[in-house]
Amino acid sequence: MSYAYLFKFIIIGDSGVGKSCLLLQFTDKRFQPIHDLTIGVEFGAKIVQMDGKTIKLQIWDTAGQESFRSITRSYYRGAAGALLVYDITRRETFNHLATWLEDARQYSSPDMTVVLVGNKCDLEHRRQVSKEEGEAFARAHGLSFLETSAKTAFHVEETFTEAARTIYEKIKQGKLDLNGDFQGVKVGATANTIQLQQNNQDERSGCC
Amino acid sequence: MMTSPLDKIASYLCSHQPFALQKRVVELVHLLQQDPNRISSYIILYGIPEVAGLRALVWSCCIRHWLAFHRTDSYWDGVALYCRYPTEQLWKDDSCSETVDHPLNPSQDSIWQQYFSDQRLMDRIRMDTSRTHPDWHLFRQREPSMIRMLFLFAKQHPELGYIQGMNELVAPFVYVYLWDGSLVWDEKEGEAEAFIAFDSFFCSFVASLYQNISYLQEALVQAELLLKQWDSLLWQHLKRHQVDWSLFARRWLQLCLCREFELPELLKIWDVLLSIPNHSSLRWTWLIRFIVVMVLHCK
Repeated sequence: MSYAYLFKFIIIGDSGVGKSCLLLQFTDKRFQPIHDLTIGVEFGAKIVQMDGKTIKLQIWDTAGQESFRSITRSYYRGAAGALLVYDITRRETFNHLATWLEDARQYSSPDMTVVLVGNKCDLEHRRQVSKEEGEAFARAHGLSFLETSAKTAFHVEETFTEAARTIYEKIKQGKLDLNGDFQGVKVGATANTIQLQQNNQDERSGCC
Repeated sequence: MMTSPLDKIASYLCSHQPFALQKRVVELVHLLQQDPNRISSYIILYGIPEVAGLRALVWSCCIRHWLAFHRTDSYWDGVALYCRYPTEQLWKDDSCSETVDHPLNPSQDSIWQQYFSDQRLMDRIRMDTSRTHPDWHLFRQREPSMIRMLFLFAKQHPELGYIQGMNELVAPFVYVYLWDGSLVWDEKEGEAEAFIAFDSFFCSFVASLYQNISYLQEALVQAELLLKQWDSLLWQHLKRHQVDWSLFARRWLQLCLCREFELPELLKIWDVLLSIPNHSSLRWTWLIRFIVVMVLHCK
């Protein structure tokens, strides 16, 4: 399948917050109440359309436990976007966000787009972190924020497309240096032809 | 002819089996006692006969045999230590008699702080055991055993603690000792045997991969070199398409293939893995070769 751009995403956050379930809901549109534990990293991919362009999202789903942190760090490099996930029913997962963000900032490109995700919002009766707190954290750190439910699929699609759109806008505005250090975006065959056609037209107009 | 306890158990296990199978069991048990260095080549060729309980017996013999290289305390010391570690009772006596110490005591020495930290550890383990082979009823039933084993392991090896993935690695032992091996041991003994087996397997073999990243990297480099050597076309193809198969191979190694095969197949692979002597890294060599063959097989 040819694409105009390929974006590399990474999903991070504490163990058991629902990272793999978010991915499964996004790619397969299904929910698995008891998901296997992620060891190391797993992958997902999905095609989305943006302004009539095909964009392939390659998603790296990482393990949450501390002992895998050093391996996870090596995956940040070359990520265009990150989903930083916490569980609204477990406050400690929210408390650890700062450490995650610090890691993400340190080991990734400064241009990486981060979306904060408060997952499991279907479990309203067990909520420990209010929506306002999530919003405040996102505002303080310049992130976009969504509450999701991998179970009901609420806001799952939006989370990924929101991140993709932000990156896409950055490309359009020329904020990302696609030929230089930034490795999170790969330019595919269709994007090239568009550029080439434009170049050809430019040349032609130059001739005349 | 003298019969050892091992012979007796083995003949009990296969008493209702066809004669040919009985003969193979006798052969295997004889080898286990007389010439354990040849056991791995025997298992690679013939496998362990499918007799309930036999696998647990063979695993224990192998582990006990190779254990001698790594442990100074005796096998049953470990079991005894395990048996007198009922986690629920551990704190009752100490905390009640202590008047100075109380649940809100913030000091790190406080026995209550220790208690709470143990509870958190237990919660983390429970979160993972509940998603270990989620579709197997057996593992739902044996969750308390798994939690106890992983908890004790973390307590006995503070340098390692509990690491995700241990839950997967403990599962085959739970199956082999607490289900398949229930003819050989009662519940309590089986759990203790399973624990010792897991403990020695993890410490003598897998732990290095978790403790030291460079060890894992080195293993992956070796695998890469082997692939290049065995099938340079495939190796070039992967390189050209920028397929970094070490991303997957890392998990294959760290979990000793637990996720890559269904349990019945996995047990056959582990039969070989456990029967290989652990000194001079023979086991690693075998496992690394195995994963390269997996890649060749996918071609």
